[in-house]
Amino acid sequence: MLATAVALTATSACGGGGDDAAGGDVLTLGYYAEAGGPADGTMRALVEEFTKANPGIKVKIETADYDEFYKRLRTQLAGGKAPDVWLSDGVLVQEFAGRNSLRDLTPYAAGLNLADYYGIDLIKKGDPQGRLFAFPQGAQSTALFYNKAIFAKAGVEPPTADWTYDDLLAAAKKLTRDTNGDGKTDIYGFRAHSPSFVESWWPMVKAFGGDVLADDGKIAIDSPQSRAAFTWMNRAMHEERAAPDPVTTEALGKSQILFPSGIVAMQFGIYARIQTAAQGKIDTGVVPLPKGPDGRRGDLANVNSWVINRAASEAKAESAWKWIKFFAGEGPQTKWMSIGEAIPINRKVAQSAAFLRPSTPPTDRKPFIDALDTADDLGLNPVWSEYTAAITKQVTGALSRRIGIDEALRTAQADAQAAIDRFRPAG
Amino acid sequence: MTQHTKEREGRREATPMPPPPDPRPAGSGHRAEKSWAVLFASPYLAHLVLLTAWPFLALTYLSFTDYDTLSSPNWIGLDNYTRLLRDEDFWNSLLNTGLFALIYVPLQTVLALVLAVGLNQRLRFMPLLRGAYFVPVVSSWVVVAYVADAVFNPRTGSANTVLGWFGIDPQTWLDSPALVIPTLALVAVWKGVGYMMVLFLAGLQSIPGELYEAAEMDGAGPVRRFWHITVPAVSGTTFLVLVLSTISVLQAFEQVYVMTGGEPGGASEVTVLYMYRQGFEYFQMGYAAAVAWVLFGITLVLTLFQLRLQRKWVHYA
Amino acid sequence: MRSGVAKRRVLAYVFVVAGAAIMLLPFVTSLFNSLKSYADFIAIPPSLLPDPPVWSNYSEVWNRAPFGTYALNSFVIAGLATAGAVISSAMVGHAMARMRLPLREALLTAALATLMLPTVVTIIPTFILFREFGWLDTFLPLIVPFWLATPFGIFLMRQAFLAIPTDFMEAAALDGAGLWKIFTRIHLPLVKPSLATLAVFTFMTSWGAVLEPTVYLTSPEKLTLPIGVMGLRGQFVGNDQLVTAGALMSLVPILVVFVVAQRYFVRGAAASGLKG
Repeated sequence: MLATAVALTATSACGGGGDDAAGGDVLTLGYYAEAGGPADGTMRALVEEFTKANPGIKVKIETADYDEFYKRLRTQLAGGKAPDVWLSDGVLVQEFAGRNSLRDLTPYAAGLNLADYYGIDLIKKGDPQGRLFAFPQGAQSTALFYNKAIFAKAGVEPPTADWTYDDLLAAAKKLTRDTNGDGKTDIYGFRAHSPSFVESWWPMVKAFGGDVLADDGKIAIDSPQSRAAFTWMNRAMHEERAAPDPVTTEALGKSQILFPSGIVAMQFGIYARIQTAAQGKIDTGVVPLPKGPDGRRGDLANVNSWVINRAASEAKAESAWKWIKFFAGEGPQTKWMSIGEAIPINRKVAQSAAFLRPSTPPTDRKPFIDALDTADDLGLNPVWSEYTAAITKQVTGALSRRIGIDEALRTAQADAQAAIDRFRPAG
Repeated sequence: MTQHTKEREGRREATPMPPPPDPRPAGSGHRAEKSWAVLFASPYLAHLVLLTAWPFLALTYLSFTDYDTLSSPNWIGLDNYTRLLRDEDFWNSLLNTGLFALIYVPLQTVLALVLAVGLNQRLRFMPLLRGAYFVPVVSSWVVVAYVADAVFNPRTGSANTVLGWFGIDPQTWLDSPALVIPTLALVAVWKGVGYMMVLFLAGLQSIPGELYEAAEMDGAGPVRRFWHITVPAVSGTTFLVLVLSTISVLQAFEQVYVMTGGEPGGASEVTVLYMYRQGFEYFQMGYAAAVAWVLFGITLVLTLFQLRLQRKWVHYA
Repeated sequence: MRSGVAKRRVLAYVFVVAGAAIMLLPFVTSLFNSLKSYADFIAIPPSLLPDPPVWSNYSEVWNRAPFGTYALNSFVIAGLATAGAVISSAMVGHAMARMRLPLREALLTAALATLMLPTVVTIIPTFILFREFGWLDTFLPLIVPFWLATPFGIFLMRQAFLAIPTDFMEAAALDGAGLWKIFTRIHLPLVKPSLATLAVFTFMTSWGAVLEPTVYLTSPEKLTLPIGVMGLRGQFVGNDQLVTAGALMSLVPILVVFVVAQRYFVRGAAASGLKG
């Protein structure tokens, strides 16, 4: 009896969708943003513009900060009350697609020239069958950020696109200083560790020739190449002390505060970190990531995307698609670009002078575009959160020297693979 | 629950204030009164059906299935439980919970009692002072998270400043795998001690003053009086405080969720948080249900254990 | 001897004052934090005092999100939850203490077991249940459970009712009207302090809840204060100073309630017969 009851509720959840949530023909649109911040304000303005242009469509906004948004979304999906269209972190698209919650947008996108947009291939790559389960909204790629003032003061030549990891470490050593002579380092050359792994060990593993999730869908973190990358990090942090170790990083105020507060001269950063650097009034320059032993940079990109609820009615999916197309257009992309949070996914906008050479630092933003062109994705699959958490746990232990690198990678490999093997596709 | 504990439960409740003797003769009126009693108790009967029995049965069933909340549950037998046995993260979460309890429960109980004794005096501003201890109690965990950051932020917090006065190196508190649980426990004590203190105050105020006067006549010092009069007299309250604190540790979800989310590297992942993550983040409701079941089992065993021990040390005046 | 007593009193006084300072000082430092600019907030070396104080942080927070609506929602939910817990727990407690309730001991034991089944453990099946009722994204899942008597409330009220001596009217009453009259006119007024205690505790629990509102409420206009405050957190931008301001703002209403209710409440706890 109990089985039937649970099964019944499960099926009703499947059929639910956002339809009954907001009544008749109101399109429920979900996105994450800091309440009342610039992104929130711009999004609301764009929604207004959209509904003016499409008088037949009413939009109900559901928004929350990043953490709450996903916590709520997962519950909404379980309860059949998720929005019709929502903004998904690029790395989470496959989690929703793998659980059968998303519409395949391939037929909708047939009318567009997909070459006009960044990120399409990365989204398709995430799906085993190459379907387009999401459409780009804004992109993030990686670059080497540097603090021009610290370099000038230390008389060190600023980084170039030709830097190798050896160059990076050599410069970081020169920049590391005890400015007030109290025996403690006040400025570090580089931030090596961050819980935000896209700005830390992941690109390094790739630059050294390793991989996290191989193209065959299996975990590949336990390799001599990743060992070399982690050895390099530990050398920079624990031996050369040119980068704060994980504990010191936290003690100095968490990894994302170091660069804006001028404690580190360089960091790997995604595009959005320009905002925090600006909040700290840092004169920032960016260059491409350094090259590994074989000349690889290990660039990564994350394409945040709009997705459409599979449970949404045809009519609503149609309206949702109109919104997605609208958002990808030149006008909205230009407005979204102006808040400085993401790289425009509309190539025309991204190649405009307004984006590439703005008046505020960093004044040359081409490295992000170049990286985006060659970048790989962050090993997308339906259990991304779970498997990356398993790896992060071990890797943090190795970088804090609580466990050896070999052991950490072995355990990470096994735990992450187990998470993948446990997954049973919905359907 | 066993017959055994039920009896003792009854006795424990009955001893301090026995139910009044019933002078009424047995007769036909009783049936009417019984139905009225059931009517009075009906909210709780509904509670038992909807919020106790149903969740309990559903959890039991789900714990034997693979259920992703979107498609129907799949019966997989004992798989979830065998996975639990081998799941290091789960055992790690139990260890974290245990460490939390070991620091939090005794520290909070002792502090609450000592503070209650200190505050149980007729002095100026006493109500105001008691109020001060209650401000953290009424603050939500969201507030406490940001207030605690003012203390335990490794860079700007006052805790490191204080350590600096004694020449101790700054610590990373919530960001340190070794210190995160003790720090969380300290914050939990800071937030909860006022609540438990009020319970003790109630107990203290019912101790007859003559007891102390008599002891003082006999030449008993303050420490002796505390140990020989106060402590035994409030042992019933102590028991209540211990049970409530133990249960609250095993349920310490919101604090950890808001303050650390299990970081760094799982060092503060307590069992409820682990359960929540499995169910609501990784969509493994069946596995989460198995974790819930184990958690309930542990709570039950601990409470029964405390009830059993209670007989050895709780004195009813 | 006398001087010894005085010395002890001073010691005790110093002790509790120091403790109170430990309780309150973190609020003061976080108040300073809430008045900093972000650059000031992350500055090295950190300063205790904001320089200069950015009072506009508070107005900015207020303008960023509909905090008035959030506060109203919190009040409605906590108010109805409190009313429900007090009424239902008093009734059940009365039945357990003063009436011929069949299976009384078993029910009491069940209440203890229920105390051990925390919300977070039962949230999955409860969520499924409320989903079937069509209650998702309504206040009902946050209110109705309180109307079904809380285990803590039952224990508290039962103890309070047990402490009342029997009177002749109670002995004579056999019909419903009589029983109801005894309950409302005679017994309830006698346990007012316990009712106050229960009310304050329930209000507090409901007001500060994080898990249930996150799980059950999804429309932005239905959010409660703690959830609204968390909504200020940015993914990319640093704005802890703003969130701190929001958090302190959300503390004000509950502090007011507490200050008003404290008198009843401390007396209530003292009189609730919880001495075990």
